[in-house]
Amino acid sequence: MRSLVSAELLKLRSTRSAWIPLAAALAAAVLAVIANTSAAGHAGGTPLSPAALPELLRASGGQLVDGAVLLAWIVLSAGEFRHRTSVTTFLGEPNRLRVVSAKLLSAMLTGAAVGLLAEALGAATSAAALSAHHVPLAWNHPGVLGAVVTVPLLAALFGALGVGLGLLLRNTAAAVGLALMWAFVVEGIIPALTPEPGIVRWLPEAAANAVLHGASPAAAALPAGVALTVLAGYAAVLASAGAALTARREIGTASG
Amino acid sequence: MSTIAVEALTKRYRTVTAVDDLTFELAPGRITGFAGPNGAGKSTTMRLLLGLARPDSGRATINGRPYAELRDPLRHVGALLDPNVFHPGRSGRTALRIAARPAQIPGQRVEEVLHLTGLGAAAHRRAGGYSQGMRQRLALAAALLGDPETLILDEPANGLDPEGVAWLRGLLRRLAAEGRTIFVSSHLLAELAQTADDVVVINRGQLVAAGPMADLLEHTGASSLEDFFLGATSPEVRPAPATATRSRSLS
Repeated sequence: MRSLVSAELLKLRSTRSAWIPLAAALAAAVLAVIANTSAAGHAGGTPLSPAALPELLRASGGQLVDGAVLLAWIVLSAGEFRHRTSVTTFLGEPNRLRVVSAKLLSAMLTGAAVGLLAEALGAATSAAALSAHHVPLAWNHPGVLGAVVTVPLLAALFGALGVGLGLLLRNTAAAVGLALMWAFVVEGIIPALTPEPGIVRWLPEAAANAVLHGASPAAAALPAGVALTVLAGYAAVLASAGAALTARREIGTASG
Repeated sequence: MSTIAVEALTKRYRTVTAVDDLTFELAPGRITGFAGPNGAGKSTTMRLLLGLARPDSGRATINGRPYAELRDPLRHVGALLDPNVFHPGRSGRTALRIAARPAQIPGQRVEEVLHLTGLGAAAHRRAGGYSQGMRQRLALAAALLGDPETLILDEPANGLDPEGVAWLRGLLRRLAAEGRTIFVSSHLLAELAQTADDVVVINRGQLVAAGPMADLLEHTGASSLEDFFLGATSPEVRPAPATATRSRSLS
């Protein structure tokens, strides 16, 4: 399994359309802290205080990192079929479920690593920015550890979601399009379509927000633990469906 | 020495029977040509052998086992099915390093096969910028990574210039002389006649003939492989397995 994971990580490193979004998300993690600390206290906003640190950390490694990890692994998984590299992949390891497992493991490792790196960059930038504003650093604030743990965990799950979606659709443009449509359109219009408002909190984007922002009023929804379990469930369902399809379908035809 | 065996292999795609009750066995340590008209089922047979497609019935084995059950398959079987199986944004060297990882084949071997296939100087370039002939050489390099005793090559001469075709002929001869089993499909019958020791001919998914090239020509009175092929696979001729030659087994 180690050699398969190593091959998947080499694919990531050698695919620009996969690692550029990750690098951009890390750059955005720094910019988000700078933007938030610069805007604090202006136009009626909350002034900076030691309590701002957890929110700065969540903002730096939040949805942008999740989106970048999702995109990277959609590109890598669906790209296997677009570029027909699946032929070489499955000649090297004919046990397709082992290959899918290696992809999932690699995606979750990537997510966790990028999430941690984003938090480290966010923490360093926050420390510099808060110090510049003469705000004491409260590393022992209860929300800090939560942010440092949840951001990589969420990003790992989004990596698995990306693998599942890519393997299921096998078409990079369709999978990326569906992910964007879901995040920006579908979850936005579902509340208008259903008389049951509570249903929205069970959807992936809302669950991710609940994990990220915990008990904040903006995302008062599922408890963070339940939301994390819901997201893990979505990842498991998509990954299982992708694995089942990959195990069953033929490789090396025009579509695969 | 390795053997390839196909037993009563059948593969259907909806209403089309791509491979129809096909049976043959290859002799180890020899080059066997695999010939048939377009759509005869050659590529499908090779994909079935390599576990990339599943048969509806029958069996395809290498050393007595289906490909999927081989331990470290790259070290036993090298396959070239299509030169367009590399990510266009990756260099030739990186594409091979990725292919080598599952079998833990060292980087030194990657450099060896790059050199062997004449791609050493272009190894750092992106595969998307390679010519058809260079992609074919890269695919051949990938097939040779594990130094396998069996090679399954689908149209390996496609896109190669005359010098490349001559180089490929020499390479296959050298590999066969080392005792490797080589199964190679081609539309270039004159080239196949020069390269192969044995030949398997199929038409509409069914076996037409299988045997040593010289025996086949002598037995049927054909003046060349092309002469035999055109006579045996013309639309008017229905495939008649095991009647065109003495035996389906080449071993």
